[in-house]
Amino acid sequence: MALIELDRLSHVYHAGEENEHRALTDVSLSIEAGEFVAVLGSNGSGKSTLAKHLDALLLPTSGVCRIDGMDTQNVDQVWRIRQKVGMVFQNPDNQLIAAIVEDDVAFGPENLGVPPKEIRSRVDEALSVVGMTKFRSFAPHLLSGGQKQRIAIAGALAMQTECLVFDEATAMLDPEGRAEILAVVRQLHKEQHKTIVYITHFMEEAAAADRIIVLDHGKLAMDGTPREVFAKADELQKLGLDVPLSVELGARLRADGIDLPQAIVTEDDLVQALGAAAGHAGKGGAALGD
Amino acid sequence: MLNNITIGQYFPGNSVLHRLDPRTKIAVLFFLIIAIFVFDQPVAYLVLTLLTFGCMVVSRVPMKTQIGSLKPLWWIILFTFLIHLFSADGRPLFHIWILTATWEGLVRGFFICLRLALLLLLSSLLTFTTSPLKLTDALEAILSSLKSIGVPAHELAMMMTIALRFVPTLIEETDKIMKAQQSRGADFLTGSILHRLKNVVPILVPLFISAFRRADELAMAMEARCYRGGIGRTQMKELRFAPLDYVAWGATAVLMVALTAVAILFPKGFL
Amino acid sequence: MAIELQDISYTYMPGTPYERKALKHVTLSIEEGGFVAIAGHTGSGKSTLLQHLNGLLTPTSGQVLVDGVNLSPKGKAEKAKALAARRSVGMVFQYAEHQLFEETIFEDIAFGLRNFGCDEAEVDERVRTSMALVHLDFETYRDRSPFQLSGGQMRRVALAGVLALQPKYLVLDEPTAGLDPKGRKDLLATIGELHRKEGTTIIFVSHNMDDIFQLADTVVVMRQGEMLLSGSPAEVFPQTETIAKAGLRPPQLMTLLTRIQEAGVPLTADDLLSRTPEQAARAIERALKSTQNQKGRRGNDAQ
Repeated sequence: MALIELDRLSHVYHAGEENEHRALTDVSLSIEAGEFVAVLGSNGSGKSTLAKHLDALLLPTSGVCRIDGMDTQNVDQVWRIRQKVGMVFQNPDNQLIAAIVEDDVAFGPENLGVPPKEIRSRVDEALSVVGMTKFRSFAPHLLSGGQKQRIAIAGALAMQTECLVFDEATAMLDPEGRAEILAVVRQLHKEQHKTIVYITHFMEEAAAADRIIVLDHGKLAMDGTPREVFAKADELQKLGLDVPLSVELGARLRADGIDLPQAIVTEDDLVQALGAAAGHAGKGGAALGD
Repeated sequence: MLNNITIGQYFPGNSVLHRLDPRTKIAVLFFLIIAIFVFDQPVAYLVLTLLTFGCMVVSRVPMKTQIGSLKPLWWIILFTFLIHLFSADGRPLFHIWILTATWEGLVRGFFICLRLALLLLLSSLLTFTTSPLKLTDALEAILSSLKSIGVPAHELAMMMTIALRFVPTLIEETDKIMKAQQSRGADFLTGSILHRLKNVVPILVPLFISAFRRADELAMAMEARCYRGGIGRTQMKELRFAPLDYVAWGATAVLMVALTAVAILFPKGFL
Repeated sequence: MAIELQDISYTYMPGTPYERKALKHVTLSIEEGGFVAIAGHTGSGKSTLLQHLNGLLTPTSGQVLVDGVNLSPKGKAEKAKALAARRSVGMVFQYAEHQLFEETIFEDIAFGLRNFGCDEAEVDERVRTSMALVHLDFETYRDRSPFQLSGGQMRRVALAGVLALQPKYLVLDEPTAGLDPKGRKDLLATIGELHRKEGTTIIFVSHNMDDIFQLADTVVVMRQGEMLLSGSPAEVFPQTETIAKAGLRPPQLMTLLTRIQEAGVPLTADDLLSRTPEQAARAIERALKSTQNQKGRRGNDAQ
């Protein structure tokens, strides 16, 4: 059984009212435990709405959303679902509750009624995983955006969630902050085998995932590996999205007749391919097509 | 322009007073305030004054800052002194216009002012040595004993926590909005009162919108972390009395008994 | 004509335990018609610097001159002049859409104009022009509430509200923060147009070195309240070590091209400074062709 299962999920805001807005239409997909999935889409594509369904913060207008077999519509299981799935939201300032870092990390387990001693050990561990132990007694407003988001991640970890959903968690951060968060996310995926659902509009971040889902106007537009998705550069641009710099550069070179493999996604791919092209050129000069 | 606001006046430190449980500090303060009001023998004043100064020294908060906490009420203290100086009956000291200052007035005025000053110094000492967070914890602990009569202790404490967390954020935001509107020629500082009130709208509207948005997002973040009120909730940092607290409690009890004994045995004072 | 910062320093909350020196002896001249980027890590003093440009902050020491006029003068006559000088510098804050408050887009853009005492005809005229500059259709949007727009559109309204005041110098703090790729591209294109077509001097803060590299003609790198570097992007960005000291990373394109060079593609020093992927692709092609020719020639010699 998949960890996350969406079956023909639709969501309509203000249904029946004048400002009715259909945010998701018949989205069906499943995400296995341990996957690292990036969700791409321009503003208004419904990606944030999707994220909130995974934590039972929004309920489907029609269709089903199941987390580890539990239907999010089932009121009795809401708290268990929220223990399984942790959320990190966009605005770092609006999701920290306590006026001291470690108190904030403790907030989730406190709500779950975990004994004080265990909360302490969970908080210490969560803070060390995100590398924020040093800042345990700081006030959140003295931290950088990236640091605040790491605290938010620690807050979810302290609840011992299996899956972390990042709802554009890097949109408001500077490049250093974004790099910090992405590094933590990769580590959580690799070392702790957490399931990651990572919503973003930064293509370089999406390239780090195992799988990319693209939403457009509330519908599932693409679903595949980064290689598969980024190969369709034209389509992505039509959806108001970019491709990573290395993909763009690779596509331009290929269009101008340079013989490069199709599967260029990361910078490493491109550097290797071009190095080979230059080397080949040296040996036989056959790599350059006409 | 709003940079100068700080909440509370906590002075981080590690003195004996800093380490005391906040509940102990509030309770001891409560009893000392009672003592200051009830016991008016000179010996009681002497003991309480020495105690206050002792605490002030032990706290290691700069003396200048502590004495400074008297500043806002300086005029009230002076006024009280003058009233007593001129209104008491007794041996005349000197005359001004139709007023007569007396020796008794001088003495009484001095002691009343000393009371006020001790009161202020001790209360400030609490806020100097206790972070707003710990005060909130203590408040929740004290209020939760009143839960049975319907006081929403957890909710009040949660409100205070969130307020403490968001005050700096909102101050920053207000500063930014004011500057943005100033850059568009808004003027908050000159003109008639009506004019100035009207000019607050461009600050208040964005500030409210932002505060509501924050509240909305915060509520969602709290829900995502399984918040459902105070029911079944535990706390990582449980307030626990340490030996130091028992010493403080004991000392306070001894002091109160001693002062009561003095008051009963020497109702007129012996100094 | 220029904005000149002469040896300015700024201290927050002087004389308190929270005292912090945000700017230390910064001297900088921004020529009219320039496109200047200010880069720096969070807390480097770049936002504080920006707020000096139109007198929102008054330096603790040193002075700010806009077109030769001191922004914080002593005498009464100079004060009127200083006010006019301040008004020639428009300021767009980070997340500028958070300052919107009026019921309609028209009224919000007109706010500054009304404060400056323009008559109705002029208000109407200028709101039209500035909406055109940010590519918002006047008839479609004039009566709409700004709060029904998307984030990117709201930011355009806020920008129009500043442009309506017809600033000679436009200062923007992180203009593209939080926008999606399309919103970012569109807004940067609009800013580029303002510079090219209207001749507005642009001063902007950005975290994105690639944006800076593509757009700016001058880069100022700040670190801990001091000016670490300033010059053209081609002068500044190759100093990778100094850039790293400021907590910044060089443009992604430059880093990628350097790696490609190290992998054996003979790119020249100039090639590494390509500003757009298009230029970079052309440079790589040229380099690859040159290896082919070279090897080809050597092959011929051997025969």
